[in-house]
Amino acid sequence: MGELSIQLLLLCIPLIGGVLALYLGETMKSARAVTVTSAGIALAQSTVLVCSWLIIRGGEESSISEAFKPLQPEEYSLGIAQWGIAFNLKIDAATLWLSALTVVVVFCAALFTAYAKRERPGVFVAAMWWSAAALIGLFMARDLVVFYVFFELMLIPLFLLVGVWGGPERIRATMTMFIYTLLGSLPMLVAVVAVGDVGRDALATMKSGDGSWQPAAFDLDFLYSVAATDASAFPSWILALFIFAFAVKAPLVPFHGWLPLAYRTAPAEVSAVLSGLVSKAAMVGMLLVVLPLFPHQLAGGWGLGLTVWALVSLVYGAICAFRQSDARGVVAYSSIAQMGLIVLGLSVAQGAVGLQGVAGSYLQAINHGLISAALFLLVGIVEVRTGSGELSVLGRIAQNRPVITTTALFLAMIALAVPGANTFAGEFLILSSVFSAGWQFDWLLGAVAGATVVFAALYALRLLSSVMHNPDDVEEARTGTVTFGGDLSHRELVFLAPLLVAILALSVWPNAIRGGMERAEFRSAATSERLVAKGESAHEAGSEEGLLPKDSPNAEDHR
Amino acid sequence: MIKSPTLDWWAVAPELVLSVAGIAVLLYAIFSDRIARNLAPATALAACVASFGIAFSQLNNDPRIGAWVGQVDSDSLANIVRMLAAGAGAATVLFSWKLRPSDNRAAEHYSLLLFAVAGMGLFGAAGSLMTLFIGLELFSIALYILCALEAEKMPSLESGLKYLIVGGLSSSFLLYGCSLVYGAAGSLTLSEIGAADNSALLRLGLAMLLVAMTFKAAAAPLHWWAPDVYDGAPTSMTAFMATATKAAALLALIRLVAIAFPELTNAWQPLVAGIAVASITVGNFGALVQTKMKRLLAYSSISHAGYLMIGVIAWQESGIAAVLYGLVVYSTMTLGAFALVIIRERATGAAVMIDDLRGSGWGSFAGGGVFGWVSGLAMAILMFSLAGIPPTGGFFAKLGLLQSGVEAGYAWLAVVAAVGSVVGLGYYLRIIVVMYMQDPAKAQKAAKGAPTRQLFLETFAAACAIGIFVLALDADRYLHRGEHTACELGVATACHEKGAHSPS
Repeated sequence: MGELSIQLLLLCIPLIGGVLALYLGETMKSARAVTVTSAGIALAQSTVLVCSWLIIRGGEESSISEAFKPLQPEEYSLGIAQWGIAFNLKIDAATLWLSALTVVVVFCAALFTAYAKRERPGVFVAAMWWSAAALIGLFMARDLVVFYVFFELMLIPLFLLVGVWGGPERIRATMTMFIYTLLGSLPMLVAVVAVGDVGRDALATMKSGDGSWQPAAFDLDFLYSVAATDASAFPSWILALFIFAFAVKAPLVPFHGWLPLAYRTAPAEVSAVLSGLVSKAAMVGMLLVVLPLFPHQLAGGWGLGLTVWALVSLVYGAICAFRQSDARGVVAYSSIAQMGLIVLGLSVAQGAVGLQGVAGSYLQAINHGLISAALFLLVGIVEVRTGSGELSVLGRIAQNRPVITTTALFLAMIALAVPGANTFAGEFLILSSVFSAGWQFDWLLGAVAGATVVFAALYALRLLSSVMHNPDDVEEARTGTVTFGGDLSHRELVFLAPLLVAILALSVWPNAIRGGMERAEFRSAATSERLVAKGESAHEAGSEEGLLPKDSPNAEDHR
Repeated sequence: MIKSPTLDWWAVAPELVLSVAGIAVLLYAIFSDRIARNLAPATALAACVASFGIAFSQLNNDPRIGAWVGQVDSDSLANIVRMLAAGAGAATVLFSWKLRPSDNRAAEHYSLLLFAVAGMGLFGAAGSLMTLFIGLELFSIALYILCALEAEKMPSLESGLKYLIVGGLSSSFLLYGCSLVYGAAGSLTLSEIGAADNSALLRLGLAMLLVAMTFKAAAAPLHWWAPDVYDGAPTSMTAFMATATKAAALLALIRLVAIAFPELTNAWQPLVAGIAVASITVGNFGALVQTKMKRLLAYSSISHAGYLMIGVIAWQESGIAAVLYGLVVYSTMTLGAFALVIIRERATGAAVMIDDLRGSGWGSFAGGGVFGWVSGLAMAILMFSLAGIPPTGGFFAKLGLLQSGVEAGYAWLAVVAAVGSVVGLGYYLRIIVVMYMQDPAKAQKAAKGAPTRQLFLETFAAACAIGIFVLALDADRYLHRGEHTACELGVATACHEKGAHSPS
């Protein structure tokens, strides 16, 4: 349990803080109470994150080399032992930065809630922090069932947020979102169960050797060792169910039906959380489950198929984003495109090849989380002020308003990945790994993916120009329909600033999260031959009681 | 020399307590209605609790197989049935507390309820087909009358009559099956039937018995009576039928096929698989179009019968364990949901229509106040749990059932259940949508002479909502018991040695 304390703290602070926000917000009926509580949660959460960062940093060398060790039975007290489920959370560099992203985005979104004067702000903000808790739990999960639980759990608060506070079509939007995602994730439950079944069988054969040490059947680190011993241990239909679930969540193109409606109908800050954070659950799922457990399938055809699929999604999303008539639509479809890009980076990594694609995807996930949240909040400001997000009635906001102009231009530049931007670094890593994927026509795939950067410029600049500027010739038709008021106020800057600063910092120094990127690479290659050969992984193929190399210095500690 | 049989009174003690209490309650009415009204509920509650306690203590002792000349097997499975029935009975007593201030049927009400619980206990502990039939009739006849007890209301009478006719049909199937099996095996004792040679007659008998059990468990395709009967019956009785009857029927089915037909596993598994698929489909799709809360819960119970059947089909330790755990969780959520329906019925004085719940989640569920808020929240939690969304017990119950299905090679059945759950979201979530996301309905009708304080029921519902999470955290205990039960029944392929991987 001692091992779990930091993870539990990370989980409990937003949970309990949410309850506090609910109580204070509802009894005092004030948005200020909610703001202060959220600031408190964010502060506490950041402190814990900094502490764990220091711990990880201190032990970085050892944490990499000790690789993946399944928990021992005495190390967990929660869980369902009969089914081989352990409440297993681990924090590493990859988890850390995603959690930090969650805290920043939800904090900014909570401030926006107070700014937008939502009804029942206490319940609203509490629900947002609870979804943050579920997300952080998801990022830390190292047990497949725990992962699944958080994967669905985060939907409950969002279901309420969209359904209670959304726009006119909120009920249809929230039901579509919920049922659509569960249509993906309930079959995934069968896949989870099937993976556990394989794990149990592996345990049964292992037990005949030495029964003294027995990890939980759903322990991901243990399952990696199963996959490393036998690359085709997990049948393809399981992979298909997993990919389907993540494709709905991300979403990839034919399964994106829930997204535009949900992103348009939800309150702006909820859309920020949805596109900035929730879509990352799919990436984490690919990283934790698909890449390490199915190396055999990904190397043989599935990887290429997924790459092409992601590419289609990328191109389709970018083209649709260009065609949208409202600001939120543009950001929503650009999210589809960006998720396509992220999945693209993951799908070219097979085993140890193309690992920099994973690094790029990880970086891009953080980038996109920050940018889409900032964009949605900015759009939210415009909507709160003008009452509309339709591009046809907006325009000329840039006139005499330098702060918002600078902010919008900055975000647009980042979104279209100008060299020097953090997104440029991410996209570069992804694209270059596509070019070196080692398939026959990888240059073609790379070229298509590269071309979509142009599309990104198209939709980002179109959005910018139609909201901020306005061509003179159509001005008569547009002016006078809405009024924006003065420039961005301090209050509005407060919740945009953390996101902008984070983006700027990452642009200047993307290497800041290198630890996370390396960890993500490492994890996705958990079962690759390279690591097995180097003896770095937690197992050695053919070792009798599996799982721990006999010559490893750490082996003694685990007995 | 004729040996007089030794009568093991302890083996039937749970039923004895209930029967004696049932007779006592009936006698109250002879003295005075007032005594009956005031004393009957307390007596019934005490009897249920005592029966629960005795069954619980027996659960931890060695099983008493073949008591009463082979008529009663008081093993783990039997005691679990008794506990579930007694628990549901106690909840039903709470549900109907002070419900009949005006009429003079209190004694009959509680007495029949106690006999129904006793019948279910006997049904679950049956060591022979004769006991099985007596148990079935004991609780069925009691339930026919209980359904029709609100004799001044047409729906209640209709419900009782329907249940009587359909129940009579299912009893006749059971009897016919018994006679066929007796013809094939030459014995009524389950263990002796198990030793008999496999024959076509035996298979036919098993099929008949299966039909009767399917009726009682309200599983498709023999489910059509359930929505009407559940809707018309007094809500407290509906809650009892939806939980205790279903549990008793499913567990008696397990006993029957485990002990009397161990060789015929391959024969009944496809049949039950068909029943499971039909129940999941019919239950979930049927519930989508309901407008009445009670009918919706009726269809929901049909679909849950289907999910639970997966565990029966999977057989093995894990399957039985999953069914037992699933039944505990299912009973908790269903009783909680019905408690809320009763709260709402008493607050508004009318049947609960789903559309009338509009906006009630924000405090007006039961006439306002903090408890209205709590009740709304409890309803939302219970609906999420029924829908199988983590981290509720409903999710873990479903996980266990799917797991046992996949383990036994019925992955396709697990996929069917998963897809059925997606359909299920359509109506469970609708309750939450209506309660929290739609604007409140016009001023609600004031209740007519309804009791104002329902602290009782509200606390019960809240306890169920919390219990759902406790059950999720504490699953190991129930699974362990389930595996133990499977070993006792001889279902498990390999019973692990003591302490092999028991949680410390």
